[in-house]
Amino acid sequence: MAKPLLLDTSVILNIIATGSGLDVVKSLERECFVCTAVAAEAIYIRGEDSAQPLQLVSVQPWIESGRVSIVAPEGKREEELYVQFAADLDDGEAMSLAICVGRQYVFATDDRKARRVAGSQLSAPVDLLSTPEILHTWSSGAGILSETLREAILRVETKARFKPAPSDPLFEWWHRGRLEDKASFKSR
Amino acid sequence: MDVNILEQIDPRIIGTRLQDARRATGLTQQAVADEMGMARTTVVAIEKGERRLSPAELIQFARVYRRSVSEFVGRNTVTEGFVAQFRATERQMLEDNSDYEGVALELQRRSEDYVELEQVAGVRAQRSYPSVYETSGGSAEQVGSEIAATERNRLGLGDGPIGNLRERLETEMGLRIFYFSMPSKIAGVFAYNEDLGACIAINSRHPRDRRQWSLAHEFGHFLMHRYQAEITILLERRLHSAKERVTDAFAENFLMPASGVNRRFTDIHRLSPKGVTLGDIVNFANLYQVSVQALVLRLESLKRLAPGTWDRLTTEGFEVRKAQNLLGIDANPPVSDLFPQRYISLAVTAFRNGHLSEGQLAKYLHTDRLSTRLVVEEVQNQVHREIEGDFTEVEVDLAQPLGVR
Repeated sequence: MAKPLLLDTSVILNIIATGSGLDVVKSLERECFVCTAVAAEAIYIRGEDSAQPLQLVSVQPWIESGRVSIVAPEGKREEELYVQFAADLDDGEAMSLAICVGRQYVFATDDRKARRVAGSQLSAPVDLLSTPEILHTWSSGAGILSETLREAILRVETKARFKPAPSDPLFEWWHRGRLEDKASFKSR
Repeated sequence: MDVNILEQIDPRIIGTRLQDARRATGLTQQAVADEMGMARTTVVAIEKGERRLSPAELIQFARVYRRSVSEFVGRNTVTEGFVAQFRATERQMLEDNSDYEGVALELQRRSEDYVELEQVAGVRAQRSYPSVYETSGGSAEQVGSEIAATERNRLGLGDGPIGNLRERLETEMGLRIFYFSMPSKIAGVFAYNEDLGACIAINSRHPRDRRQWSLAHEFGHFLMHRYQAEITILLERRLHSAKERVTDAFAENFLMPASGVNRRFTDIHRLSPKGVTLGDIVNFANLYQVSVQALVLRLESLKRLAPGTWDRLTTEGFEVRKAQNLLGIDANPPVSDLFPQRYISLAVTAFRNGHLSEGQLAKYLHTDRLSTRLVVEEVQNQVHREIEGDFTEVEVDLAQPLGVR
């Protein structure tokens, strides 16, 4: 089985915005975790219309489904790593990274600085995943139509205000995905 | 290689931050000791920096104070605490109202964040402060009026209304001005130290006109009483204090200079065949962004309205809000920018350059992740245009440095 995955807020916000969050998480076919500091963050997404108030969302449905579990740092090493990373990152990012380093979990984050700090852990390299990689995995699964992917990508862009950087290896894939079925898009 | 970062940070710095955090929660050292399962003397020693913390203890302290661990280890700025200054000048007030101390700490935190952002960006604080004014040699009204005229002249404001006071004070003098929610009795706060410079906080819950007056008032403290921290309280009407009288006289004359107000009143009078109306006065106050009460009292003191006019209007049941609604005046728009524009630009630039994570940026902006992304978009001035199903982005990066020769 693939290494367990720990999700950071930057990715959680995007996955929830797809409107198919639980399906996306299931498609990863690995144990998924969220640390306590991230679970405590208030996460909002935009409504269908930008004039609508922001919607408060959470990972609670994922936890209730049993697909995602909450974790906290354990033992002296993870606590030390947590405090060490907190000098460079916010608490959710620092706690997530400490657990990933301590347990060899994969870290799902889109954040440039968090990825850089994770990459600097030479003694225990941390594997990373991004929102485009996660959606790519999900869309490669059976039964995901190009229209479904396009809707998900547009929701992420609209409701979570996320787009991959041009330097992202999946940048082209993302933009092709969002332009699929253009005729249908125009009629919206 | 793993390191215990707590061994690299001066324990006195962490101790001071823990003490500030404890005070902000209103907990005693004994209560914290009980919660943490340690002796009170241990808490005392940690706060004094005489005993180093373990990572597990710091995590537990952060949980008890409902703060993030990064707040204690992620800051480089060390300053003389504002609370100590307020205790020197406002001791009784702070003892009577524990939440006032929280306001002082909040101003200090935000100002430290500002300095941190300057350090990350490698830029220096902009300070162009005038010398402190003497307040002796005349009545409060005379001194306040003279200083207001001098400052208007120095800032090239003429004698008209000041539409962008905050921007002027921030960009031309380098004052650090924040807006945040405070107990309703507090109008504003002023504090200064060498590390942070002059820092002002205004109660964001107050109406626009009150905020404008409070800003002018705190600016007056900066000009006249720079080295004394000040919390301006409403309702208590500390008019017996000479310091408050001269500062209020400054605010009144700075916002409503006699020459400009007199000239405009004369113009209104000329153009109103039936004489100056209540509607004229409400519009007049809106133009100067002062309350109707402040303007009427000013006109009374300038002998343009009969003495007791405001008292009469109040007795007759005049309601300012209703009058403003009838005239289509929105006198209570929310504060558009809780932080200085420069602060936001520095934060977004640091994020875009990879010096701050998104989570850190959200902390600096005191908001959630989505709102943080929206602020980044706003600063980048991304204009989304829908062209035949495509979105075209036109990016104008307002935070981008220009190669000025």
